[in-house]
Amino acid sequence: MSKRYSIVQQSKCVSCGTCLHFCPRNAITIIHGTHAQINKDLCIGCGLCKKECPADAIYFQEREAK
Amino acid sequence: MMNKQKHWYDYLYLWSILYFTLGFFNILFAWLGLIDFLVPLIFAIYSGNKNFCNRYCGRGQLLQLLGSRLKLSQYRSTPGFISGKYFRYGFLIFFLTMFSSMLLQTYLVASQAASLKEVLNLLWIFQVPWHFAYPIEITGWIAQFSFGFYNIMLTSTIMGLIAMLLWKPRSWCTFCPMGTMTQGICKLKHH
Repeated sequence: MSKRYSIVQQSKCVSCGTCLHFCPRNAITIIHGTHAQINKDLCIGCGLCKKECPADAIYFQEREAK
Repeated sequence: MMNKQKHWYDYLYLWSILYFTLGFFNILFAWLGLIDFLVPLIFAIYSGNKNFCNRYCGRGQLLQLLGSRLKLSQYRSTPGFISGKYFRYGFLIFFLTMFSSMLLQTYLVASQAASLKEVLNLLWIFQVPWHFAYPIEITGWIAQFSFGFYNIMLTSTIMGLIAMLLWKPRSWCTFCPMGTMTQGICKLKHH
């Protein structure tokens, strides 16, 4: 499991779907055409979606140590 | 882009290239651009999604290809205000005003109150002669709509290219009027 995962800030997301095309794990879904959502269990924290997001709506979150 | 399984719709950037090429030779092909106007609205109104932006937008794919694959983009953050709601909705209103103005011009030509203008008004500033793309004379308003619509399509693509060069490949998507409009429709539909 990666140390971090990506999160979408819903208020900034324009639901363009750019992130969908870059996620190597298909962890991203567009919810109701309004915002993207990332499945943190699938996310490997590679940051490709964050790099490509034109609205800078994606940021990293550290995973809590178990 | 990652080496994911390719679908037919991953090649729709070719449609964008074809559209502008055809309009260079015969402006009447501009009417085909209505597909790009109506399909996103149909998706949003009937299905409540942005599948057009997410999958089928040829312009978005073209910007991604040029910015990412051909490395033309600076990959700088899009200024926050541009993807903010005031700018997005402000630009949508401006765009719809320009669209209405184009429809009015078409009406004036149809009612013979104005003559056909074989020019593009790129970025709503620069007058560019485009008479070479009008080889056979037809009904005035049909031609006028073609020039006006092609102008909107080309102008918005130029703006998208500038945004791609300055910021990220798909920075245009943050203030694309169709994207703003369809996201607004989706929000209304799911509330």
